[in-house]
Amino acid sequence: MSRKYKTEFRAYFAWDYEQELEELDRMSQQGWQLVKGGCFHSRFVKNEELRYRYQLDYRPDVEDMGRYLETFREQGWEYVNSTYNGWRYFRKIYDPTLPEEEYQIFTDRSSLGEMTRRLRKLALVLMSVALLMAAVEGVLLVMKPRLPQLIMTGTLLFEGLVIAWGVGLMDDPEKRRGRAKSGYIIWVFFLALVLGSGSSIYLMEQRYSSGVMYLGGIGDGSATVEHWGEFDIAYKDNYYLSAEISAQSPLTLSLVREDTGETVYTQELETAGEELPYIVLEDEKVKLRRGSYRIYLSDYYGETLAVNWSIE
Amino acid sequence: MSESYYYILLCLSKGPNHGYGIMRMAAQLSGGEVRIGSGTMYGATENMLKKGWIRETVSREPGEERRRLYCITEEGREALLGEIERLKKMLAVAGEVIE
Repeated sequence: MSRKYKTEFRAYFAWDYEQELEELDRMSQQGWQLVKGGCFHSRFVKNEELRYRYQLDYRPDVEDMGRYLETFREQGWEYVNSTYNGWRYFRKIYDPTLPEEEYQIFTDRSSLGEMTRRLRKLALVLMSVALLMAAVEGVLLVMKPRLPQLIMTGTLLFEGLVIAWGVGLMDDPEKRRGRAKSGYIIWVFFLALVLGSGSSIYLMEQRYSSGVMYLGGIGDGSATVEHWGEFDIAYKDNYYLSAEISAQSPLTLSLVREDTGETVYTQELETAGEELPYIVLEDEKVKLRRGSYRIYLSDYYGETLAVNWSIE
Repeated sequence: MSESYYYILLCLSKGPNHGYGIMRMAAQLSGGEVRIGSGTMYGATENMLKKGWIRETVSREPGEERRRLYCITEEGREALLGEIERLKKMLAVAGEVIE
């Protein structure tokens, strides 16, 4: 006789583990017995002859696994499996004549408190990391407004606030009781994390171009010289132009769209004096659309010129 | 000291025992009031092993060879007696106030 299996893609937050247990008990009542439990998906086998009750222990560090499992086994608990992050699944065959306490692994408030403290600590660490990173990204966003920074800040803020909400639920058993599982919020949580940080990193990598221009020994310096570099812009956003120019005369720097010839930025630059013939442009904000651009240097009448430019 | 710690030490003060035996004895001593579940038992024994209040030995009883047993240490006995003193004082104070 072949056995019937099914896999359920069901995720649960740490603060929803009581709901997850109720769900497992319900599945068992419907004849689906847990084979392998997980935070994202669980596997069941069809068996209508048995009914189990489940318990979850969150204990990432078990020093003596033999002693741990024996302590459960001697009270009739069968070990099902552990998840990578420290959840351990146990089950016991359900006998309606036994008192409800037989199906609880934590029988006093202090030991249950120890487990929730472990979970709370983890959630607080994750929350602090997310919110701290959101704050750093937020400061960078204010300094240099740009799309990938906005996405990253929003993503981290969302993740941090969801965890903060969860910590609030952990601290308040009254609010937790009778609550439905967070359901789709957990998928939104992980999807936002992957899509948000992924797209932000991808868009950030698309933005950087740089080049070097040299001009030397063009004679007496009486003629005006034009010179240019090229770069492509992948998406419309604010960009930041920086340049370090070693020049003998003032000059004009401009950004020109290749297809329309439209000048989107122009700046007349003075040298900083004879002793230090340097011009430094730092993070000049320019709004650019998708397309190819040229960076022009014109009205230059010196003999030598060196330009290091970058746009991001 | 939580109720579970207290009952585990109390049970072990009568001699070495295994987890299941402690659970049964605690229920019996408390008239069915105290049931020490597996998660609570593991956490409590883990902490008390670390504190040095109890230690592990192996059973030599026929039929139970090599079974894991716990026994109380001198420190554990002191902790238990200290707790009993504390509870006695609390009771005495209550007696004075209520009278």
